[in-house]
Amino acid sequence: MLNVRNEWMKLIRKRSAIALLVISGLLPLVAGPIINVLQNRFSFTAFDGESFPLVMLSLAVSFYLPLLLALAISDVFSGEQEQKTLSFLLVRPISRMKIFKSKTISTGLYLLALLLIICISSILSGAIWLENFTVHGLFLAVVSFMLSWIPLMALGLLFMFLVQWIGSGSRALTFSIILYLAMMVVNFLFPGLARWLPTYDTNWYQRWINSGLNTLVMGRCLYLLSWCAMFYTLGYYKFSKKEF
Amino acid sequence: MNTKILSAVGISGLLMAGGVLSASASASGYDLFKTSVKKTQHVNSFTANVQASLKDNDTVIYSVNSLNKENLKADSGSSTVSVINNGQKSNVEFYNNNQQSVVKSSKDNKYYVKQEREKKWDDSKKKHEEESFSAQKQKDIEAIFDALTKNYQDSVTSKQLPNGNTQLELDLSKNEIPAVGQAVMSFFLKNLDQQTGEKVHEGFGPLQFADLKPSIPQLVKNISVSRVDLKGEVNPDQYLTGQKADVYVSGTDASGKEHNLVLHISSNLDNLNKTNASTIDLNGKTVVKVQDRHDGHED
Amino acid sequence: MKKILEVQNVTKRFKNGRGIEGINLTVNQGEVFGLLGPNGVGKTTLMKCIVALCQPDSGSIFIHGHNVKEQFEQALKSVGTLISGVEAIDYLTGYENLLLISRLYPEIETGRIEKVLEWVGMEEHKNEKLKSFSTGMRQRLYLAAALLAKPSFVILDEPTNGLDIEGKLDFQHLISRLAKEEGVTFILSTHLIEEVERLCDRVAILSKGKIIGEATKNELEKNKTFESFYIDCIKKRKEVG
Repeated sequence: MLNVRNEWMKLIRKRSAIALLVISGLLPLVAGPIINVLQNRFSFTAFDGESFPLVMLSLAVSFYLPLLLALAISDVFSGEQEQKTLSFLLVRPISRMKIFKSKTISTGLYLLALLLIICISSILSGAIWLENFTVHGLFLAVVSFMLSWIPLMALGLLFMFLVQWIGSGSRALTFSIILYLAMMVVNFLFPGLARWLPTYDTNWYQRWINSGLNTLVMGRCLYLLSWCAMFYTLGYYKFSKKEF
Repeated sequence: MNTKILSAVGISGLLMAGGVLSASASASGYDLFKTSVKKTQHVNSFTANVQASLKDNDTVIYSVNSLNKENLKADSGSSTVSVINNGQKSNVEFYNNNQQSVVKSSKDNKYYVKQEREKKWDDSKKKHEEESFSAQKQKDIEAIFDALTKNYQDSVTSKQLPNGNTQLELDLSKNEIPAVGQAVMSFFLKNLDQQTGEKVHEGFGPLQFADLKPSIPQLVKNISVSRVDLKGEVNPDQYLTGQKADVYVSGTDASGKEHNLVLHISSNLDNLNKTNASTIDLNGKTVVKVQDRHDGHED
Repeated sequence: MKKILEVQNVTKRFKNGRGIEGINLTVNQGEVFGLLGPNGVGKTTLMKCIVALCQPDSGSIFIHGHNVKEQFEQALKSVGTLISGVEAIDYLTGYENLLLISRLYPEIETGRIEKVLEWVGMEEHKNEKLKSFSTGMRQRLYLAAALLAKPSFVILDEPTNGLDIEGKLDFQHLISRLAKEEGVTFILSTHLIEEVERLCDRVAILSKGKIIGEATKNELEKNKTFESFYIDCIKKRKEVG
């Protein structure tokens, strides 16, 4: 696990990563007062302090976070390969398995950090700017943000597996975005097929907080976890066979 | 590929399939709903018992109860509506066939009659409508509907009722209700006072329905739709015979008092394809002829 | 004598036809082994195979008796590496780059990073980001990285690439000192004959993916240098080919 610190350092010290973390925190803080002004002017309440964090979350999980995740993963694998920095640690006494594991863990931590930052700043923003802020809403928000980690990570592991074939950061990012958009299209046009994709679950926190643990939620949970296991294994396999 | 990797992928693939299948098995309610709606669309006649009530902090401030008989083939219908508004009860009866519409209110003994003169135009319109609902269109509409309701489809639960019917339920909590819905509802409630001047119903000239309008408390703050509970009942022949909707809205008025409004609407269908509308014999009754003010539509 | 590195019949072909074929070589403890050949004959390919960045099509490689493919971590445990074309992280400082590596060797003592940075003359620049480094400074840092873990065996692929004259001399001093005083074993690939001349106890000549000659300093006839040995080998090769 020593290398997790290394991968984390590499990931988080990048200027783009720092900028994105800051922006992610600022967006909800800016959105709060704007919504407040608009709602007062046009006299309606679409968002209140209770629902605001969840609205932010639903926006974040549908495009923003998958994009940032794709960006991070493209950097961590294809980008490093392009810069020839991936091998810098590969030629040390650490197995490919451990490198892959630590890259996965640090990507997961980065995703968690993004979720936490958006969660905290949207709770604050909702509490400051919007009416009807409740403890219940706060609780739901925290739970929902944390639950969103799993489907996003499933998506991330798919990206991680597929970018192994791509040796350039920008191409890996473009590919991941197109792939994600394609999955979204499938999600809307072919509901039967959509059940086999993790994009079906991007807002699965809704199911958790509304119906709790039922057959549907357990089934999707099993699906997501085994999806993660599958693409983690495949990704590791491809990574271990790679030549530099 | 070595066996370890292969078995790991194989096992996780199987588990994945198990997860998907068990999840989709539990959420078949939506498909049943669609089937029943499509089937019910083709019903020729029915009797519908529609009830609606509005509660403010558990006090019923408004309720409507109506019995509607519709025969679409014969283009005739009749309904009796009773409204209790702030404890005052009034009844209205409607009769209509392809020649005339008749309205009778419990406030007087007069029968208001409006002649249907645009029968031909109506017919052609109806034909046009039937044509436009071709199989392809229906499919497109279904696809759009599927896409719009995507997020809710697997929240539809189904339950077998003792009477042999299946109950479908979609229970949406606050965070599942689209922001547009919240915005519209809050806008409507906040701006209630500006609508009081307008007439609610016009069509029947001297007969005013203003007193049938509910007096909803004026909410100003913290307005939100906190829950929408939709229920449907599908009979063994897959007709959608029962529909229920409960909409929960909360908010505070200018004095800071909290209001919990519950709008309840239910509709039960029976005598499918066996209903004949009641008719009214106007002989010996006081009849008031009503001029249709919307005569000669622009087109 | 103890065998530190054994390369057994290693073949690696690339799609473009380049690569290495049937390479056999052994590096013994305490040796400074030179792999000499012009650019593009497969020196780096062989080095990459040794550190498992590439998988040979056939043959096997052992370091300290451990198969590199199957027991990578044990094989590389006390090995320092510098592979040409492998870059450190641009947006981190020199010190931080070495910190990354030091975390992979749990037994490394504190202060070791400063020590190796001093060896390569980089202690002044340790807190500068790599972005601002010249090629020579990078190369010095990579050498520091290779020596960081007190390795008993060091793999150096084109180690003096981009170094100025002073840098080259510093490098040669450092290698000689480590070999003599601390008994560190080296394998270094280069296209520079004078480097081999000054440092190496034994040399293998690589041409078009094959080893065409191997000699120790002692084996060479009197007054003969590695340079003339190299020329002889190339000549013979041409006569054969």
